[in-house]
Amino acid sequence: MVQASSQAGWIRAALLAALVACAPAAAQEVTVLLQASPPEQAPPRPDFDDDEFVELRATMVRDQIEDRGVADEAVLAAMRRVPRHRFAPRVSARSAYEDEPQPIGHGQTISQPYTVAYMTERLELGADDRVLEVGTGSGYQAAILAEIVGEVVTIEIIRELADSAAERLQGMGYRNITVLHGDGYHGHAARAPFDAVVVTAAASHTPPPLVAQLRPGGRMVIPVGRAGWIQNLLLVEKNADGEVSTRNLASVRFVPLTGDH
Amino acid sequence: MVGRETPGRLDLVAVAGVSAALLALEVLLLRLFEFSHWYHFAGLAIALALLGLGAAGTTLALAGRYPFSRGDGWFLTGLGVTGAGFLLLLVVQSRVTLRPVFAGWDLGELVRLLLVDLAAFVPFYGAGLAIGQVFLRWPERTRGLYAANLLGSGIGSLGAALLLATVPVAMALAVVAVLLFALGSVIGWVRGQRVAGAACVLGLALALIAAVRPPEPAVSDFKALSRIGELPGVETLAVHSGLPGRLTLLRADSLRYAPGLSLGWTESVPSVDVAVVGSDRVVPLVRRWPVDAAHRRASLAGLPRQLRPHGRLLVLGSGAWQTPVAAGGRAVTWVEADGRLLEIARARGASEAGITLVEDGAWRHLVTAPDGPYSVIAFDAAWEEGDAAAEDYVLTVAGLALALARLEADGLLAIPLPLDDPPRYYPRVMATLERALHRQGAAAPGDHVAVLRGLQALLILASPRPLAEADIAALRDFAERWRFDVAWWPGQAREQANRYHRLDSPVFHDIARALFERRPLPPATRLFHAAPAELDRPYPWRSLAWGETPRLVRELGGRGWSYLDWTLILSVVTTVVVAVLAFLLVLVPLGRLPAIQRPFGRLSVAGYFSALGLGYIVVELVVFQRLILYLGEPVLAAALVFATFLIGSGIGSAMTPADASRASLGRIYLAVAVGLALALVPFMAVHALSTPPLAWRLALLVALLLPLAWAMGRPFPWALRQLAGQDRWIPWAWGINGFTSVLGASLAPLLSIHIGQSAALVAGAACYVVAFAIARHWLVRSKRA
Repeated sequence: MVQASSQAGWIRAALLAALVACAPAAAQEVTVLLQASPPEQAPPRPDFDDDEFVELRATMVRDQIEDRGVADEAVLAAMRRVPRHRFAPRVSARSAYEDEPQPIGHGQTISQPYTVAYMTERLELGADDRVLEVGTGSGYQAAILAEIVGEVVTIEIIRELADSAAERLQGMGYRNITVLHGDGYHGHAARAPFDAVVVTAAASHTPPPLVAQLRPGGRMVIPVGRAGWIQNLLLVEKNADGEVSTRNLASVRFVPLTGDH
Repeated sequence: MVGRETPGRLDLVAVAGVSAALLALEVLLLRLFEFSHWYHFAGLAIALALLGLGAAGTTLALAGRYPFSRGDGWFLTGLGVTGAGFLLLLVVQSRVTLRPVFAGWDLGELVRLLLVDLAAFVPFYGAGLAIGQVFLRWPERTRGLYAANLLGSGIGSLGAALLLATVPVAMALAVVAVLLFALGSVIGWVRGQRVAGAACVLGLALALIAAVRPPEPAVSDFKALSRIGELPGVETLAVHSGLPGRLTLLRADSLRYAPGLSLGWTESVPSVDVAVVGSDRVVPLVRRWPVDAAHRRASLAGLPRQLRPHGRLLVLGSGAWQTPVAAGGRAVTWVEADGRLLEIARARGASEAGITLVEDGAWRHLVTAPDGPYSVIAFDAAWEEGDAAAEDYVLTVAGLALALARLEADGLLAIPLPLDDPPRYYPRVMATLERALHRQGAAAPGDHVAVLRGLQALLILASPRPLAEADIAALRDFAERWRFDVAWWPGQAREQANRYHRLDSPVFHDIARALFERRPLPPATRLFHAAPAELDRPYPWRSLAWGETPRLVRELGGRGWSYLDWTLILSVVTTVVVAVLAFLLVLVPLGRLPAIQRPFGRLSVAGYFSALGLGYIVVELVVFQRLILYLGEPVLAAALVFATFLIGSGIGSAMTPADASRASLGRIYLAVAVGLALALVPFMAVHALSTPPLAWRLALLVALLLPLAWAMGRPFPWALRQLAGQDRWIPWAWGINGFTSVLGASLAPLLSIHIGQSAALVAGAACYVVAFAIARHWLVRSKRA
């Protein structure tokens, strides 16, 4: 669902389409599991009743995120709002708010709260942005993004995880998230370009299609490196001329991109 | 066995059989735990299991005054517990899926891990009960019994290696259990132990079922084998057993590998198959040669080939760096110790594409270099890094110097490394390279080296002679075109080193400059161990600097824990835990044993058998570490060393003098000294022992080690023989020896890593000096009495 372009932006849209057309052609089959609603002025946010873990989330944000330097108010607000425990059904609710990644099955984890917040902050998102997330996992990162931006497209290669994330996000009332089942390596050219791309599974190299689907001026955050405890978190920036550069942000703990790229 | 004054042939066979099963279990357990555990925990798990032997000694010491503790019934009970332990291990490993990566911070997962490991304690305990009591029962026959013990162990070691090479590890365990229960059934029938015999027959039936349909070990969903198995459309193309571990060949369209690829590359990257060795080592393999590898012209992996478009390439090892991919008619020699990978490549047309496939260790191929000199030597295996305690002889000063000598005059070494920030292995590899260049006569090593950096990869290039202007220009053009940073070239300004993939500072340039200018490393980079890796300490992947650990954790916070060498830390933990447990278990029976009589004392007995236990295992393991240099494959080296030592010691123990005289003591320990002198040859004549073909090498190594093994088998039964008449102290002494062996097993790698293999060998030899001194003291006291 590409946002409607203003009159002045049609040239930009044409150029972007051309750029995207240069992206490697991929025989990519994707299945839409959850479709975002047409964009509105302000996408509806789910209405979460106050639950017994509000205080725990506030403590999590204060001790694990704010104290470590994340300062973006939109990110902090999202982290306070989204009930993280609902995205980690395999562990106790209290464990979900601990300062660690937690298993969600299929060799995947829900990322450590700080990592989610840090990556989100580094994207420098705006309310109208469209974000591609590769590696839906539990759907938690997608939910955090959806609290901030206009639309999130998230893609997951493991069918069971994609199904459960779509069901969970729909059940929670998110209307601005599209959940796809497919190989995230190819991104999603049909819905490109994106203002930001976040890859939540480590890869051995940055997939060329993802770089191509990032609009000029956009940012990508991706962990790269070998499987294991440590990967390097990179910020990839594409300038107005389409040239990319990277900045090493930090080392983080992730699981690898399942295709072991 | 009740009532016989001497052990019969069946008794000796029984001891040998249980000993064989025990050693086979040790070897198979290594492979099993590597599959199911996080490999750092494998050593700890095995040490805990081995404690079962010592615990059995304690049990025997406590129960020794009761008649039921010696006899056929007790032996068969021990044998039955051993066999049941095998089956328990198979069941537990197949039913319980571990997530060892979470054990680092999840106490519950750690407890689960340890409980699963306790299943391995059971067979060791049972075997200890069976074997230990025969010394109690026939204290005058320790030579023959110990000989049977050791010979059986040697056969078990060889048998386990043979099984691993041919069948899956679960089936191998079941087969050993079958043999064990069959032995127990025969003993029960012959000796009239009906109940125990019937139990063994039942065990035999269960073991046969397990051997025919072995339960697969459960694999964590975080292991590569599981994760790749979840991919849509994944196919298992083949499964092969082998000494390096099970190899599973998998195919899925979503499998792509391109480390070192430029962000500027916008075209496709081809899909590949992968071979998963064990449960976590992933080796990409092209589907068919020749392959479309256009993307490599935009990759650091393809740069050496572009800089040197002619001449033969040598590729050492396998990994995601995949230098053989772009063979494209170029003469390439690919050296890999795991022949199965080469067989797969051969079946896919690698040979027709111009790739010569050589199954050999990298070090040995560099020594012999039958098709050199080379225009490029690519260290593909370096991309996969390694464990802190794993020997890697090629990435040492001697190894890199040898590689430089095998290049053409303007040839290139290409060493890829994953990028870590802060730099973890880079300082050490660069320091080793600098030293190697010096050794090869380079007056200014910095003039021979270039380093390029991508977003997640480093490529270190080195040449025997200073890099030409044309090379530097070509590098810079490549870097500019594909937006790589050049971290080092001769004469580079610091400001040029951090342009496209920006770090907080050009730390890789700063490290290179400090090393080449022989200045201290920048303070911010001194978080890791950075001394050059030498042949005597071939552990280039050891990064832990103990003194810097608090600063590392303090500065990096939580992620600092991820940079620690957990193998080393858990080895220390293992050593401490085993020492404490052993100490307690040794102390437990002391109050209930009768007074020991002159010339012995509790302390001297403990000291003697401790020294032997430590000395034997330290010497054995250090020799094993060195033999990896010559044999390339660690499991092959382990099988050879264990078999040689155990069989040799078994023969030696059967030839131990029985009398307690200074002459016999002198002969025993003089033989040890001569054996140790011979065992120094593998530490000195490196090139001479590297060149012969495999069969000759094996024969030479066995010939050099057998005298030492024979000699080291004699001090233990000699002393046990002297304890005859103080029977209750025999299992206690045996238990102490067992405990200190376990301690030595975790201590030996730590010694080699920190003080070098030669010094560790000296430490092992010193234990025999201590044992000799104690034994001499006994003789003196005996004479005075």
